[in-house]
Amino acid sequence: MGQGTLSDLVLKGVSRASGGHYRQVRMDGVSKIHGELICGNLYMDGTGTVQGGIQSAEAVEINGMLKVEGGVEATRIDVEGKATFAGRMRAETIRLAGFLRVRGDCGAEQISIEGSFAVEGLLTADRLDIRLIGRGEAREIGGGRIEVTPSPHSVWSKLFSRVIPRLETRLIAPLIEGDEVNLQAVTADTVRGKHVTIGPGCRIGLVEYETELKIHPDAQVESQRRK
Amino acid sequence: MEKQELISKKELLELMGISYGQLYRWKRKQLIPEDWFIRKSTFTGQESFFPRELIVPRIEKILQMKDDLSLDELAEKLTPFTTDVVMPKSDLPKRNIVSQETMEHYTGGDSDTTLYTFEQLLFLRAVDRLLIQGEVTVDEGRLVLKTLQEQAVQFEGGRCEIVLFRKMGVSLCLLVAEGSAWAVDGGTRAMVRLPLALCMEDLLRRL
Repeated sequence: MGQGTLSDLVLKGVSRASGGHYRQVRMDGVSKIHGELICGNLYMDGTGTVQGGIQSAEAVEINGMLKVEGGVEATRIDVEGKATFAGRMRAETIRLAGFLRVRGDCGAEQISIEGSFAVEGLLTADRLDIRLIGRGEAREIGGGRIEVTPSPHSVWSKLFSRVIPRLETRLIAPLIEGDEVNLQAVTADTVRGKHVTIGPGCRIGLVEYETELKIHPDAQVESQRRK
Repeated sequence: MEKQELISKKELLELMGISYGQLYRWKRKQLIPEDWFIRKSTFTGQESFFPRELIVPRIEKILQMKDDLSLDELAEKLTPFTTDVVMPKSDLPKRNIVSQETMEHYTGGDSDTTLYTFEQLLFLRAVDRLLIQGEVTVDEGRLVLKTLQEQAVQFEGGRCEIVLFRKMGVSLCLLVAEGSAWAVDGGTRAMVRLPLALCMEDLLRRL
């Protein structure tokens, strides 16, 4: 099926459509798609539900609230608001401002999160940048350069208060592994890395480092070991 | 008890001189299959282990080829069951897929124009390896081939290991999931343990 024969899907207002193969998808308003989406670019502004997965050959841009009853695969995923995926997330770059829930692994070369998230699988990226607002959770975090800091934004800022529940700003993950690991406000059982910095607010069970370990006086590390 | 040799992630990084970043990247690109990551809780915390004889050659190959191919191209090359590969019998010796002897023993009945699928080539390659290594007899090779043809399909992506047992002059062929452990009675000897994935890499190199 050549791209030239595909039509665009444009939804405005309160509308529904069947899933399928489209060139470009635009969802403005309250949209519901019955089925999976296979498309080029996907733009959503408002509230949307996709009853299936999303496979985009290009970018998925969400402004609002999106619920996907499946996974998502795209070149670029940009979310401002709230997104939940019942499957795994995969892209070259993922950017999130708001809240993300993934019932599977979430992987990209670059991931930038400002907000709160719950990844039920592995959160992995070559460059993982997390600015926390409220709670962040992942089953495992792994990659090249991992940075976790509390965001300067307040939980009560207008931008986020609708989508982020008011919980303590903290990232909880049993295992974090990377080459450069820079953490603040993290609770983890095990942290492994080459250059590791355990910053203020951290509560870590075990740190194993290869080259360098820095522990802030306001951090708790039960045991540490050089590999 | 027969157990596959495992290597911890830490040992692997050190042994191969690679970083966490590289390993996770290759996992994302599916250059390393998901089920090769075996998680165990040790007294030092959560640790990942890998089947040693699978992961080491795989990483060697990635390191060898990564400068010439993009990671996506590499992933494609390493995907099991490149099903659109089909080869006529006459090409097999030319491409060095299997030895002459193996061909005589097991494909004698096929004409020169018979086409073999990737799967069939894979099974022939596996038996060829076993014969060359002097670990099985010609009849046992036939048994292994038959077992593969009949049963390998049960394993997703062909992820299985070929095991040949001998007891009192009788041979038995078993296909098990990768990384499985087993125990047998004292009179039974395991002659061979060959992961099909290794044969796959071998075959892909020759194609």
